[in-house]
Amino acid sequence: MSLHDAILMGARWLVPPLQRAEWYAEWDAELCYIRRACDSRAMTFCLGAYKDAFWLRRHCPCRPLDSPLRCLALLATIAAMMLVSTGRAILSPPFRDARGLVELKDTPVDQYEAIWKNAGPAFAGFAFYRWVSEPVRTPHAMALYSIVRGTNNLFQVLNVPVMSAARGPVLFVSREMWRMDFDNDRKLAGHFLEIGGQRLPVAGVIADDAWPLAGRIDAWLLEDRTPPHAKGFVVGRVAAPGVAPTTLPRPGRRVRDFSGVFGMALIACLVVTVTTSLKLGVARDARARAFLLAKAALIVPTVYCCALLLFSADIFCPLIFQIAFVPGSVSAFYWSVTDQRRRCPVCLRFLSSPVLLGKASQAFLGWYGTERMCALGHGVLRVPELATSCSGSPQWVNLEELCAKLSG
Amino acid sequence: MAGEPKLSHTAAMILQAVGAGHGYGFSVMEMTGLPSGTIYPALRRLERDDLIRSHWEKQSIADAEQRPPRKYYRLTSGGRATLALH
Repeated sequence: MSLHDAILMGARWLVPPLQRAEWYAEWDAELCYIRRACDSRAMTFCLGAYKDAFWLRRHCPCRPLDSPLRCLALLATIAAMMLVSTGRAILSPPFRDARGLVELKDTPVDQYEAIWKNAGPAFAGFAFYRWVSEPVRTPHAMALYSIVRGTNNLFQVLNVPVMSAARGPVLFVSREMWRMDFDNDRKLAGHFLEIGGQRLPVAGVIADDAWPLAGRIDAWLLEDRTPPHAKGFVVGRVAAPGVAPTTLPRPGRRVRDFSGVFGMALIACLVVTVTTSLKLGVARDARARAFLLAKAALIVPTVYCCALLLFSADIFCPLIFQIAFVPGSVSAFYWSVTDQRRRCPVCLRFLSSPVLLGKASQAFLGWYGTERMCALGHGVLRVPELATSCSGSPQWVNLEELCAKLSG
Repeated sequence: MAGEPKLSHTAAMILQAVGAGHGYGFSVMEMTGLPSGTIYPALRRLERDDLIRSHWEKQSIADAEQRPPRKYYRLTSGGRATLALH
């Protein structure tokens, strides 16, 4: 399949199913002729297919969101999926064995010893480690590697299954490093590696899933002595399980931290509603208002979850989250209101058959604009082309009430 | 005139091209110089407004010339009347 065919195939899925086969046949045939005539224009031609597909999608008579219940069901499904996936991403422990470990970050090594002394019987043991990037001379080359430098008891505290009787600094390499730099050499023990100018014997290989904490590590160097004033992580093994680690903020704290953002988004939505032409004229009816509120209530949490999922990975940045969430929720609210304005306030289905009435040049101070009609005959929405003092916002003409007045 | 369809400049150009015998999308593109993303939606709009009508070429004709069948467009009576007004 060529790139041109792939572009057309992609656009094909945007076309409503009933028109899809014929649409594709036409574009495919035309592409064949364009290739014969001049292949250089084929790419521009194919990209135009998306515009055509979008046009068909927009003007499709069978709209999937036409029914208000179906619209709410779809929004609720999306919101539920987003909530579940966000909940899983946030509530899942940041690393394996998280319930049995406590971790303190940016802790000086001298404090680590004090912590250990004062910890009491709740902890089975403490270890200290630093995560550094250092140049390592391997048999093949010299490159920067990600190395954990820790105290001798680090693997014991973390329950990493390693046996080593060596004294002094002990070096372990990751399985990937063993494969890439030592060509899976089974007689690895005893080889020397130069780390930061220090020649160190390799004691063994650590299995891929043996390191229970976060991060990708190339080598572990366990030392008797840690440089004074070094800062790093203090990790403790909890004697009684159930205590969560403190390296990452807890979900509850994270939600509390950003509850203020909800307020900001709400104010922004209200400002948009009041200051723009998005007046809620067509949501006066209680049912219509409930539909609008239900849409907004379902779509704003979806945006919140999207923003959390996008920016709550390892690099959780509150500012980026706020920048993403506030305009996102305003756009979502804007969509809710514009969608509402395209619907009949009685049956809440989409208005159809737009008719342009009058011309600006022929209707001085008179009304001119577009009329959209409810397919079930509930009424007509009159949307002025130009806002004037007498016809500023869209007006709903209820034909049922009008008929009742005329007949009664 | 009441009920007169309103045509944009682009739609009028495309309608004129179809009226001049450029009966398929690529030919209209060649004639007007407009991109495909403008031509095809405009053709669909004109067809929706009953100004043009489309039909598929017979498979036997396309097979005889060893090419895929083409979708042709031609003016309706309403399209001819509208074109005469523009």
